[in-house]
Amino acid sequence: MKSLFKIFNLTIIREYYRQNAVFIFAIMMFAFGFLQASEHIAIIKQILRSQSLILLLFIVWVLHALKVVLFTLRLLESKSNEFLYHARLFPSLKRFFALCLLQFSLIQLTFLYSLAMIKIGVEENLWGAIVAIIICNIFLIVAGAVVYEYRLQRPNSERVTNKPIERLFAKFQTPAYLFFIRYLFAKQPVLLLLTKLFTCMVLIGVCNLYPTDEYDERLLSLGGILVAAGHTVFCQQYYYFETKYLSFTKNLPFTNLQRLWRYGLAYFLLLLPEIIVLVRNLPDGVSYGFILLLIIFSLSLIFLNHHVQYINNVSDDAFMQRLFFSGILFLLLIMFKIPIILLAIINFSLAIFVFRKHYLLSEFNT
Amino acid sequence: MLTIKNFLKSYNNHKILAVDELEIPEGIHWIKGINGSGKSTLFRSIAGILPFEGQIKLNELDIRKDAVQYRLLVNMSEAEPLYPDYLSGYDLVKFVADAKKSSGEQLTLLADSLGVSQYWKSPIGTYSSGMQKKISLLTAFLGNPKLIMLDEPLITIDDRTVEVVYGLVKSYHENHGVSFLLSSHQDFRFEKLAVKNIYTVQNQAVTKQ
Repeated sequence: MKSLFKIFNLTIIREYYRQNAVFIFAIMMFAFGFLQASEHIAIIKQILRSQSLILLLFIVWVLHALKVVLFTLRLLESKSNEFLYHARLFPSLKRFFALCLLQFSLIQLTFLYSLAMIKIGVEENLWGAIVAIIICNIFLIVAGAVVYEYRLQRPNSERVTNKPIERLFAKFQTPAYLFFIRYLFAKQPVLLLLTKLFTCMVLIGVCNLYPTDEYDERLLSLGGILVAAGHTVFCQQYYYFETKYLSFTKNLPFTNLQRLWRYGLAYFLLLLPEIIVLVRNLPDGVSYGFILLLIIFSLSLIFLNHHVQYINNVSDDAFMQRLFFSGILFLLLIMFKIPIILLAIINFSLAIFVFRKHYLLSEFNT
Repeated sequence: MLTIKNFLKSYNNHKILAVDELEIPEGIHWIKGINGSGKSTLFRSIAGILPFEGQIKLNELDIRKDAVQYRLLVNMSEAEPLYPDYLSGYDLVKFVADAKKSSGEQLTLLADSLGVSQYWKSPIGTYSSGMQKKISLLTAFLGNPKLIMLDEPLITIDDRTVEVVYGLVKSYHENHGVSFLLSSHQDFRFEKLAVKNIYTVQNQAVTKQ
């Protein structure tokens, strides 16, 4: 089993954490960056005592497990990993344990949180909730292993890619600015769903908070920063997608303007759900003109974030630090009432500068 | 035609390929070299896909200063193309055709001769490696290039397509004055073509035989 798990570790687990470093960091920042430990404990106690809240939490865990499962299936279906189907030659019991271990390694984000919940549950004598958490974790591990086992026994990628949305897309010619959006639908549907849920919930929260006190438009602008921060995972995915599958586009005779326009259009289309949410939840006293500025501001932040990916030799740690401090900087600028349209113009200008300087020099570093 | 000066390609400070000065005239040229010698790196650098130190010019067009004009004239087909499996071959080919300013007539003609039009509306995920290779070869002939680089053009394709590729190379060279850089690690593959020069890529350098 050791050799089997080792190969799963090298091909799937490491790749998952490498590709999702930003996603996990964003979750950690959001979960632990704004709340104190005592507040976390209070929330956990509340969840443990409420059946509906714990059910809601399980749904989130299931969505996360689904994201992990889809990622693994995608790797299993890729041609470069076809050798993994040799796993069938191992005894079924050993193989199943290795697959359970694989799934367990991939759901560490929710599993570690569940451990904290169990500890607090024991202290509070909430045994029913503890049993439910343990059962949920076992279910997530076994269900994942069953899905992988099913795929290993049926190595037929065509059947997997035969999805209704994909079939609909396939009926029409796909323009280049939709290549990445189709990639998200086809390869990262859970990431797409979770990110959009997160950013739309942030905007709904901000819009509902606005009339409860004497807030001004700066509150909505802060929401715009969070929306852009949520899209960081897309920026990294876009860069990965482009360097892996579309490196030949650097040989195509596009002007800088054509290339920039295509990126801008793709991100604008990705922001459509947020635009709809903003328009539908527009607080009284806020004009549609401001909503337009806010969208331009968020788009400019995402646009800049996309283009800094082209700078070579920036480690994940360094990138995260820069992202964090940039977020703080923008927060301060907004609090000091710097107009967001001015910030947007600066962001777009910086993005174009970075693109012109680094795009053709960029190389994907694994 | 193609001038390479002070060329250096390295990964993580490890030198892959260095060329002090190399002039490649018009014609069909064979770039030889064993696996991993740097043929693909050279092709991808000349195509503008990989960054490098030094200077590459096609006639008087500089790869960096005249980025758009240069790329209109330099096409490439990769040895082992990797495309998004959920797109159709037509999505990709049409995208490249529009970029390279290829006429619809040229696209149809090439697709029919290579046999691509029979399957190009299906998702790439359903293609064999040979079918993907034909998509890649097709894109290299689109537009009005002056230099086409075919990296290992004959691997994975069937005998009929090999003959089609020979025919296209001959026709583009004789009728349109297009030059070719063809790479292969095998010794006998381009005997049917009027190869002008043979260059060997080895020991991190390119030498004319």
